[in-house]
Amino acid sequence: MQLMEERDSVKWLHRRAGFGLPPAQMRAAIDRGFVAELDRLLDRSAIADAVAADPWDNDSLPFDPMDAPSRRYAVGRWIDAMVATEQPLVDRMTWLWHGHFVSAIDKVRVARFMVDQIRLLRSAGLGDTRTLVRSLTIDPAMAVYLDLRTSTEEVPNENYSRELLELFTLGEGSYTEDDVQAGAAALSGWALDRGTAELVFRPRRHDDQPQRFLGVEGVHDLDTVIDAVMAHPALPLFLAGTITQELLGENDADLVAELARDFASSGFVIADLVRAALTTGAERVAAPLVLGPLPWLVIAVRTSAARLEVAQATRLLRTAGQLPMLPPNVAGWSGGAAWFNASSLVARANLAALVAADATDEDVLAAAEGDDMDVLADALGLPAAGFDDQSRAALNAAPSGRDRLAVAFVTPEFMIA
Amino acid sequence: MRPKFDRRQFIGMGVSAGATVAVGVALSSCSGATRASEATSTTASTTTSATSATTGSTVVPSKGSSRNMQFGGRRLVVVQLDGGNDLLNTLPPTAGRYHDMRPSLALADDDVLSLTGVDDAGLHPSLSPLLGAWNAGQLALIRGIGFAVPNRSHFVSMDRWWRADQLTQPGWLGRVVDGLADEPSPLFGTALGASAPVLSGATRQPTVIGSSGSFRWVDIDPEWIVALSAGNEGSDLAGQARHAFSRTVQAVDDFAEITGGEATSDELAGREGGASIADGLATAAQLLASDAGAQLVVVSASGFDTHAGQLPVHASLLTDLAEGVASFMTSMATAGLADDVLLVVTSEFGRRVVENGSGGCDHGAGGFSMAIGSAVQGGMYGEVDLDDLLDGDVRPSVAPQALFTNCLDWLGIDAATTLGSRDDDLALLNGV
Repeated sequence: MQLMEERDSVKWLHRRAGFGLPPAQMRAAIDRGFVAELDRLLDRSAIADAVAADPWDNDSLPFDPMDAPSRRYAVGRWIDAMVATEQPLVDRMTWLWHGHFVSAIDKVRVARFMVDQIRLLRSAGLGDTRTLVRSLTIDPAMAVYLDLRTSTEEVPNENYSRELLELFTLGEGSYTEDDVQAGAAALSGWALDRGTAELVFRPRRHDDQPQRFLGVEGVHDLDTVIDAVMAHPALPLFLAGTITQELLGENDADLVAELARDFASSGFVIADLVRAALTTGAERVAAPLVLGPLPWLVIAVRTSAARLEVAQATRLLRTAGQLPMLPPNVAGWSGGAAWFNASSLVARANLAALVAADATDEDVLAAAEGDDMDVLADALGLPAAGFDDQSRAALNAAPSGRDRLAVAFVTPEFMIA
Repeated sequence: MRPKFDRRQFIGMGVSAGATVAVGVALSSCSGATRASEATSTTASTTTSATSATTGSTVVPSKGSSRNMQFGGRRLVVVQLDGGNDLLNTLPPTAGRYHDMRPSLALADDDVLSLTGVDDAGLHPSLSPLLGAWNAGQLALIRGIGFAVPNRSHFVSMDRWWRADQLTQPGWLGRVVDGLADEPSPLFGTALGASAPVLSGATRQPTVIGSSGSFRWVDIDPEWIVALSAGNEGSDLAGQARHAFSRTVQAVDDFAEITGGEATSDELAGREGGASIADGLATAAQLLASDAGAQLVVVSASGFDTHAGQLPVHASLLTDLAEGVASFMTSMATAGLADDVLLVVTSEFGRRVVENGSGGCDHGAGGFSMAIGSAVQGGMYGEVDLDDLLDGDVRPSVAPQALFTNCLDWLGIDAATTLGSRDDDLALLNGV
């Protein structure tokens, strides 16, 4: 089995499972080595501290669906937090789950609900899967986005029940239409209390009739639904497949099966699954993965210590197709080579120019002024192979300095991790 | 100091010397959301000679075929209503059971527009702009379209529509693009508003323009981007990125030339930001009438997943659709292309017959499509029988492949080869 060079594996780890690092910090990380760095990223008490440092101030988040400034604040603060994070795996996993357990602010409207959901993903995204899935099921933003708050015994709404099974936990083909309807009945009766911003259970609106759901008899409420989902054999495979796809850029059946087995025997602790996937990824020279516009932007900003004006960036991120809190639909962003669409590439190039203009990291700026493209590649956290001949030609076509740095951000080498 | 580039310079640089750039002063009169952009006045400085477009039309007539046209010059537009448009309220049945099953959601009989020649269904009042085409016999309304064994998942269902139910193959229009001898110009297949997998081939991808107002280089010189893609592109992800950049540079040039560097709106589709289907179709009209070789355009519109509070939302969505389509057809006629365009509307499924408790309805089966154009044999196609439901849904009576077959007929492409068979055929075209 081909092993990644130690230096490259640390860089890979930070581009895949974090948001990159400026050169000085990357050198320190490389000195520590891959294993120590992965331990740092998964350190429980450091994670707890990072989660406790909440990026948002509730005073700026009124429960007002008409309040546009709070929506900009919610998104802007989140991007700032990803740029500034000292525990990047937490925030990268939060981002990953945001694209998986999807809600979108255009339907949810109330920014505070979306923020509370992101807070939940930050605090529970590396923990126990059952807690995460149960909490999301009665999360206010989710209940608005997938209509669970309107589902009653008399007229159940299937939207959440279907997506819980299809997109969140089991995958298409692992459940029947009867399961969707049974799940909707058992999950009926949760209403949104807009005063407390919590979902409250209203027994009189709930269908407590025992259902057969995913082959389990007697399912009738939230906990029995979650128990049946957690007991389903498709769940570990589906979630391990999601993690390998998102972190390793591949979906090899044997690899997924192995990770799923370990995930199940760990008691579905997500941090253990992530550790196993990243360890395997560094060992097998993981497949290339196109960075979506958001992680790509955050990596560029962090790496070059750019003083980015978030309002300007969010406008372009929207054009690039990946504004946080606004996934296109309940399946999240499609990713892969689809990110090479014309609209998104134009927005990325414009963002690249913006970041390059605001970069402050001295190592990065010096490398962009110099003529050694290997030095520039290293400063930007790229593996030792650096830029290929075509990218070098493009970099040389641009004047040295910030223009060259902008081009570097849109080279395939920088856009693909 | 780094040189300061601005957008105007680059639009100027991007367009080949001496090219005429039409100023984007002609905004769609019908889209409602259009407004004079603050940048419109500055646009004039970029033009070498301003072509004055006819007021009220979005379209600059074609300057001739500087690029080879495919399909004998015929164009196809697909409007994709994402989320599952509700068939029953789009074409409300006259049967009493419609009201029984939708006590709060059914449209009152008095509000429903009657369709000449049809006695078992009418038209949602928001669709009144389409009555002219109906009365002219150029509008085919299709009810109950869907796969015989339906799937209520958006994503499975959309995928089946895009791939004509052959899930190991690329999009059915993408297959057409793959089959062309030479790679066509970048705007030949264009997706407006969102990506359009129906246009994605195995080897060739459409140009996606999510937001026309921002489809331009700002502080980066496209010459550097071109340098990224010079030489061998390769087939790996990096090679795909290089190829995409090279196509994108040309697409931005072409698009700036067509729209004068300014768009009708910041957004082409999607609800957030006031974007509309009408804006998307106004841009589609500009593309199709230009000489940039645009012939296949997909306009994506979201918001049709009406699980809750459907009535007002659906009414405004259908208004947007109908006004946009009517305005588009007028633009095509103005450009002398009335006989060269076919427009079809699709959606991944219809919705449940019985309403839910949220003032909406859940995912269903048999849905709504339509086709409009001078080659269309107007009329009502397909069946809805509320006494013969499939698991609570309208039973599909028309296979989507039947509509695709006629679209391929329109383009002169052999449907049997492209779709594997032409067993399904709506025969909704006259003499094609």
